[in-house]
Amino acid sequence: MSNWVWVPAILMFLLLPVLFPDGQPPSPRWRLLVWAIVAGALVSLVGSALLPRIVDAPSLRNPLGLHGAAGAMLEQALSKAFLFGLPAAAVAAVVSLIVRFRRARGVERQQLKWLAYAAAGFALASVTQDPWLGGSATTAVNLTMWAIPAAIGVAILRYHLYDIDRLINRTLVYGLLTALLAGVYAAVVLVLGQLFGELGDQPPSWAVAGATLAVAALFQPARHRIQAAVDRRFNRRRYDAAKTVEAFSVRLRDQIDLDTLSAELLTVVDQTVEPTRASL
Amino acid sequence: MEQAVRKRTAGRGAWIICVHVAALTLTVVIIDFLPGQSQRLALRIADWSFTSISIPLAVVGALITVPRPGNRLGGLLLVGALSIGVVKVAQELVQYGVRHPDTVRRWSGSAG
Repeated sequence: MSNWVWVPAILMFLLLPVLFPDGQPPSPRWRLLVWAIVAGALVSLVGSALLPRIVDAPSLRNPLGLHGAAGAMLEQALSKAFLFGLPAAAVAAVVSLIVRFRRARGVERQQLKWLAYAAAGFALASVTQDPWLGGSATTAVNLTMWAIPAAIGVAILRYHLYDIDRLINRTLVYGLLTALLAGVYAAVVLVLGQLFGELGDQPPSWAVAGATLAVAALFQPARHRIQAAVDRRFNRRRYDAAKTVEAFSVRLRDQIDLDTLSAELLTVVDQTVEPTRASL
Repeated sequence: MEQAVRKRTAGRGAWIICVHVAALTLTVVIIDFLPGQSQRLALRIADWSFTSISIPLAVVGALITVPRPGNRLGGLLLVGALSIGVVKVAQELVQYGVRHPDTVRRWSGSAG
């Protein structure tokens, strides 16, 4: 049983990007991919059940398995099918998700962003996990996988659906800030240690103190700059609104005519808050 | 009327699968604590962290199936979660059986 029961789990991971979020493929043409994945899974299920040995304990014979030349042939054919078929199906599934994202508007786009956010977190954790950390790193990566069902739940049940933009924004800002500050800290400790020739097993305490001070001094200005850069790139409306308010506050200092000021204020409110009606 | 009955049945089925998945996950942990398991604790925790993914998958699957039985994703998540739960229990039993053939023989004897 342990030979074939995993096939539905693989099927789930392959069909999830194709059917998310409404349970239908992005267009009727993509149904072909769904059927191909289902057919591949059925073949794998039957093939795995007939393998000559138990995969988790190769010393044991599979009582239902094919033995002799037929079994060896089946083993070879299945391993080749997995080597080429599984990555091809996974790539096609991701492409279908990208196609759907490009066509999506409104709620569907937000739903897809939730799934993409969780999947990106899992992919990043898998790529950056340190093999030397062994079990702990694997546990951390497996726990990031919990974000995928959570994101699917949020997206489909539409609970705080629109918070995803803020979440992506904060992740980018604080992720980049952490990377920058960690880089600065490491560079300062390394450079100071090298310059003054005290770098042994442990960096000198004054170099650590200097690096900590540099990081503390850099935190706020770096955060503001990164926030502005991220807003400019990914949240253009907020960036434009901030620029409009900034320009208005400069004009406010010189303008003394109340009528002009009222008109300008209404224009700024209209451009930034976009109310249906505004009056003074 | 018929649709309401179908919706209720789908909801019940979803939560029953959820309970089964939780029971399977618990079984994996129990097998890991049986005497004579040689695997290091860190590796066992890593293994459980993978097995336990079936619980949120099943819960989200049920949460989707109950209000939206027509959305295939709910059923897909439930089947995937059940599959992970069953495969992990089967793997643990096979590996335990290989290490302790006498114990498994005794179990099957008392069961028969």
